[in-house]
This record gives sequence, C-alpha cells and structure tokens, in this order.
Amino acid sequence: MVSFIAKLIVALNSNSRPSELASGIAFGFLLALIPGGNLLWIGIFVIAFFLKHNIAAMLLSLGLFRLFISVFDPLLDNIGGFILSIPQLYNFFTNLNNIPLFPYSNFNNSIVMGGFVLGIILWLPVFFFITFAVKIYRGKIASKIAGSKFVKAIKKVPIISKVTSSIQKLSVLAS
Amino acid sequence: MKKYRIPGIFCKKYTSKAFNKKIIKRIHIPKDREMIKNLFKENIDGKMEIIREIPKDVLVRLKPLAKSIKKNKGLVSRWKAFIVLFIIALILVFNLFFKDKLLTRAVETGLESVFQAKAEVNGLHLSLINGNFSYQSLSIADADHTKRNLLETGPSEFRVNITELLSKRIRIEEMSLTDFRWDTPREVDGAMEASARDDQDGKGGKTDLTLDFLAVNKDDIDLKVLLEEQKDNLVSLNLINQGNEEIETVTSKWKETYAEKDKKIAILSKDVNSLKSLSIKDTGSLAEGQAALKQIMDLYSRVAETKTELAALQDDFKTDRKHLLEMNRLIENAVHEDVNNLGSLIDLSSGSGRSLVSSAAEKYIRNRWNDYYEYGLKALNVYNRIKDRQPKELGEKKGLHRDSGRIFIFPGQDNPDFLIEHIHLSGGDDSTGTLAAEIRSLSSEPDKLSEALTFAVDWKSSSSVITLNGFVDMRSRAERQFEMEIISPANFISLDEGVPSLEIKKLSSMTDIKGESVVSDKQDGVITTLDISMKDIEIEQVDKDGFVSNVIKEILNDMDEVDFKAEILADKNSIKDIKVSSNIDNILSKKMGEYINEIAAAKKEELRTELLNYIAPSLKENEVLNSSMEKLGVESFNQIDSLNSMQNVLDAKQNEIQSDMKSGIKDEASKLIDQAPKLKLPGF
Repeated sequence: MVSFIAKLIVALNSNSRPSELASGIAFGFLLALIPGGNLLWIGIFVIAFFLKHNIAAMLLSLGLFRLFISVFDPLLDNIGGFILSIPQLYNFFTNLNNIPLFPYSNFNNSIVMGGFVLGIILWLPVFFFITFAVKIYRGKIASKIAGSKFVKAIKKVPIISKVTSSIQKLSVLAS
Repeated sequence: MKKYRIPGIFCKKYTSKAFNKKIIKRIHIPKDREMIKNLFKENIDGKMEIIREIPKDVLVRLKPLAKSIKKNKGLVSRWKAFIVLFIIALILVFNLFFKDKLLTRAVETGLESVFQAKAEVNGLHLSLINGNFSYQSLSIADADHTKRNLLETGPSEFRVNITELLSKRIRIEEMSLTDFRWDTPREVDGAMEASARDDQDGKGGKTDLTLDFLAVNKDDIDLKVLLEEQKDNLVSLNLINQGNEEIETVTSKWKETYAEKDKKIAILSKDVNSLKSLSIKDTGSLAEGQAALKQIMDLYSRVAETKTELAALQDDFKTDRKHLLEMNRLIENAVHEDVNNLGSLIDLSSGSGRSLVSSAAEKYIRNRWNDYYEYGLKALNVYNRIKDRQPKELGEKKGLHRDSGRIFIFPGQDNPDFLIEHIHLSGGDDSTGTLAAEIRSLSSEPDKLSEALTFAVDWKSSSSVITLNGFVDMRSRAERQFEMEIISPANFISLDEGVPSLEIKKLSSMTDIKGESVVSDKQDGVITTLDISMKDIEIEQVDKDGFVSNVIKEILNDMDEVDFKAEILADKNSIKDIKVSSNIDNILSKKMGEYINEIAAAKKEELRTELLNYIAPSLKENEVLNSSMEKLGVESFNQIDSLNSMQNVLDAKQNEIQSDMKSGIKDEASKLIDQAPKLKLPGF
C-alpha cells in the first residue's frame, strides 16, 4: 500500500503525462463499478493493462473505490435494470447472448450492466477532471507544498519519512 | 569527477514545430518546460538547437528529463506484451503439467461439498479442445456410513459439448461409467473434517437386515397402546363424557327447582302449623269460625296449587330421567360395540394388514423398501444440492460485499443450462451380480426438453433379476410425473430366521415380482403396487407334529403358489403406508379358524376388561351423577307427601272448626229455646 502511494506521489511529481495518471484512476473507477468474476471485468482489465497509464494509480483507485462502491449497488441495479429492459435494445441483447463467450460477461446482470454503463459514462469526466487536477497541482500547488513549513514538519514523522525515502528511491529508479 | 553529457535527444536540431511536438509537449512539469525552452535557441537555419554553455546543475537534470520524454511516447507499452506472452506461456505449462492435478482437487472438493463426504478421483484428464473428460477411478464415501462408499466407479469418460460450454451451458453428450458399484467398504474413513463421526463396525450403524421382524407374536399386541391410539374412535368414552355433561346440567337444574319448591313448602308448612293452634271453642263466635274457615280454605288452595305444580315438575323430571337412562343404555351398547370394533383391529383372521402372514410380509417389504427409499432420498438430496449450487455462487459474489443484482433472461438457443444426454452405467461381475443402467435427458431445466428423463436398469445376479423401466417427467406440462415398471422374475428368497409365528424355522422359495410405481392421485407421494408370487416353497418347521405345523404343511401341499399384493405409499419424508394382502391369509384363517378364534376371543375379553378400566373414571363420575339424580327423584316424592299431609291437617282443622261451629250454633239455639216460654206471643 505504502509502495502504491509512493508510486502515485512519484508519478504526480515526475514528468509523466497527467493523462496517464488520469487514465489509470478512471480505469480503476470503471473496474470498481463492475462486479468481478466475469469476462467483462477481465476484458476491461486486460485492455487497461495494455494501455500506457499508471498501473499503480489504477490499482490504488480500484482498491479505494471498491471499499464503498457497494453503497451504489441499488443505483447500479436500477440503471442496469432500466437499460436491460429497453425494448429497442432487446434484439441487440438477444444477439449478444447468442455470441459464444459473451454469456460469461454476465452482461444480463443488472449490476454488471449498470456498473459498466455508468463507468463508461463517468470515465471521461473522471479522466478530464484528474488531468486538470494534476496540471493544477504541478503548476501551482506542488512547489508551494514542497516549500511549506507544514510539509517540512510532517516529513519528520517516522512513517512519512519512510514514504519520503520510498519516493526518493523510486524517483532515482524512475530516472 | 563525473562527466555529464548532453543526452542525444537534446543534441538534435529541430524545426520549431518538431521541437514543440517532440520535446516541449512531452514535458509536463512547467518548471522543466521553461528550463528546456531557455536552453534551446533558433540557429541561422531557423532550427532549434541547444546552447553550448550549460550550467552543471542544469546538465544534471537533462538526463532524467530525456528519459521521461522518451517514456511519454505512444499509448501502448510494448513491454506489457512480453508480460502477456509470459502469462500465455505459463498457462501452457500449467495445462501440460498442473491442469489435471488442480482439476482433480477441484472435482474432489466439488463432490465433497455435494455429497458431504470424502471423494477420491484418480487418473483425471481433461481435454478442452476435444471436450473430453475422463478418469480412471472415483469413489465417494457415504456420509451416513463413513467406512463405506456410497458409490465407486472404474474408468469413466464424459463427452462435453464445447460450443455449448462457450455459451455458458454444460451439455454432457455422453457419460459412460464402468465398473459401477455401490455400498462398498472403504479403507480410509470417509467423514469430512467437520462431520467426522464414530463408525466402528464398518457398517456405520446400517440397519441389519436380519429377518426376526417376521416373528409376529400375538403377545406383541399391546392393548393399552391400541386403546390410546383409538381413543378418539371410542364411541362409549365419547358417550359417557357427553352423558356426564348432560346429567350434570339436568341435576343442577332440578336441584335448583326442588330447592325453590322446598322453600315454598316450608312457608306453607309454617302457615299450616300456625293454623293447628286455631280454635273457636272458647269464643264460639260464628263470625270467627267463618274467618278461620276462609283462612283454611285459602291455605288449602295454595297447598293444592303447589301440589299440582310439583306433579307437573315430576312429569318433566321423569322425562329427563328417562332420557338419561336411555343414554346409560346407549353407553352399555357402545361399550359392547367398541369391544367389537377394537377386536376387529386385532382380528388375527382378517387379511387387513394385521393378519399373520401379510403382516410378516409387510414388515419384510418395509425393510427391503427402506433400503431403496434411503437410496432414493440420497439421490434426491444430491440433486437438490446440485440445484442449490447456483445461488451459492451468487453468494460468493456477496463475499465482496456486492449485491447479486437481477438477471434478465434473453432468448438464446433453447437449451438447458445443464444437460446430460446419455448416462451409461455398468458394473459388477458374475459373483456379485451385474448392473447395467441407462439414463437419458437429465437436466436442470426439464421444461426446455422435448422428452422426459427416462431410465432403464437391469440387475442380474445368481439369485435374482430385476428390471426397472420408467420415466421422471419434471416438466410443468407433464401429465404424469413418474412411472416405473418393475419386473423381477425368479428371485430366490431365503428367510433364514423363518416365520416364528407360524412355527417355521426356515423358509425358501422362488418369487416372481411384478409391479409399477406411479404418482398418487392426490399428488402426495408415489404409490408402488407389487404382485408377488411365491412358488416352490420349502420350509423347515419347529414342531413337525404340532397343530400349526400340520395346518401349514397341508396348505402348502394344496397350494401351487402363494400370492401377495402389496401397495406402498411413500413421500419425500417417509414410507407412509404399506398394505399387504395375501390369498394365504384366508386359507390360513379357515384352517386355523378355531385356533385363531380362541386367541381372538381371549383378546376380546382382555380388551373388554382393558376398555372398562380405561373408561372407569368416566363411568364412576356417571354413577355419582346418576345417584344424585335418584336422590332428587326421591326428594320430589317427599315433597308431594309433605303437601298431602298438610292437606290432611287442613281437612282435619276444617272439620274441627265446622263441628265447633255446629255445636256453637246448637248451644245458641238451646239457649234461645230455653228463653222461649217466658215470652208472650202477640195476638195468638
């Protein structure tokens, strides 16, 4: 966990593309919304794995979102149920159901469908928001934080100093 | 001292556009971007070129910056492809070396969870490409008798339809199980860790099928238990209770009525007594006499009125009494009737299931059927556990604290999720008997099939042949859910324990069994009817010259075969009823009529005594109530008597006063006559 956080902080402060971080977090969010154990989740994970983005950010956001995503299950159930019962899409889903391997995606489960659709819809907003936030951080906040008395004091706390040393090591490795 | 060089990416000359695209846009730290912009100047060719004099602290930062610029190129990481290739290689290796081992464990775990006992699979092999699944041997322990196997098979093969598997449906086209055996001994205890149980004899408490249950003993009939069982059907007991209630009501009603009358009579008696002292002798006044007479007449009419009332009440009382006496007579009849009815239940000569031979046959069939029933229940439990596995899988998802959601069904190929098209079972050998069974169309969704599950079983051994053919139709549109034909000709049956009640030490015969099982009309279970025919009966008798032995010998010489008809009703909870009737019962009852009648008569007498003892408390209460009714009757007569005596007293008093009045009048007249000469009559 500490290592993931350290990697994330390194990525935040290094010369990596803000979109890499944002894409990692957005994919983590999408994967957290979709219940695991089906082909859809595995497929998205494989796609996300091949794309060039921050894996640490993805795994960290996946873990964090998973902690409380079940609160939204009733909402996802409603969304998924609504989509799966749209008459115009009935033929489409029927065809999908008859394609080999597709039934393993559990797309006909209301929460899987709800999670997938909501995740796809929210992917772009999350992506742009995180990109924007990283840019703001790097341009305006990072230097202020680094030089602040508070951070200097915090760095003296043992656990923080451990994280800092991890970051420094990773920075050296990354460079 | 370390020498710092300018990285190659910065040594190149770029056009202004290329510089922006390849360098500046790939630097995402504003401070670094500014630094690089300051390091590059436009040369005379109009291209961007790095300046020559770079401060050392800046030079140090150029190397990591160059690396990160290179890293920020493209959308896909090539190195990840190598990881994927590595994973694929790993899967191939796993497939070659570990797949079967892991699958063996998975199958064992799955079977253990379904059968709740240890399972062992050896020589398992799965070929996903060919859709073949096979193993060399499989054994599953019996959860109830852990030192025995529920079933065991030798080499077996399953052919799985891969196309269906890709559509998330399991379709086993052919399942061939050879060397199939059941109830075999195990070397290792088959109890699961959590449910390990003490099983010492290797039979695990299995019901021992010794045949001493055939010993029907007349002393086994427990009359007290019979009475308790038949409590609700005892007319006498019900009548006594009803009669007691009525007597109680009537008695209290009459007690009240007579108490009221008692009070009234007491008042009358008081008035009569006060009149006793009344006399007009002293005064001799005619007027007083007339007043006294009037008083007596009034009282007399009150007494007469009360007497009339009492007489009317007595009529009513007699009606009630008559009714109660009628009830007592009914009770007596009911006791007699109850004794007869109860006697018929222990009638040793009837063929209604409690008869001597049929009763023995019933117990025999019940034990044999229990075995089949037990296996049937086990199969049902296994089927239910398999059916219930799907919700459990959803439950596993719940382990991640996610809801299970709703499943929307879209039409696919109308095939069931789980289907075994054909199961072929074979096993046994000449010494143990051979088994061959075929089951077709076993599915989790029978409604999606055009045909019902059918089965055919053949069991052949040196002593018996059993053929079962039938179907189980679980489809919602099914007219008949279950039907099975049973054919078992030429079974050799040997009862080593004999039939003690018939003084038979040992019995053996050839037996033909034919029958069928169907779902009962009320849909509350399965009814199996069996026609059992025993021939070539050989017996060994306890006392060859005894009465019973002679009768049995005579019967068996006369009869070519003994026929039984059995009807067995079983539901998913138990074998509910077994009715057995036999032609031998009637013959036996005729031949042994005297003997059986004696027993029956003795039993009836015993039963009468038991019944009387049983209803004694109620009868006692009845007696007490009756006697209080009797007392009330006597009391009513006493009251009328006392009224009669009052009337007598009043009559006497009336006569007395009238005579007093007469004498008074006479005295008055004499006085007047005495005074008469002294008077002068005017004008005469």
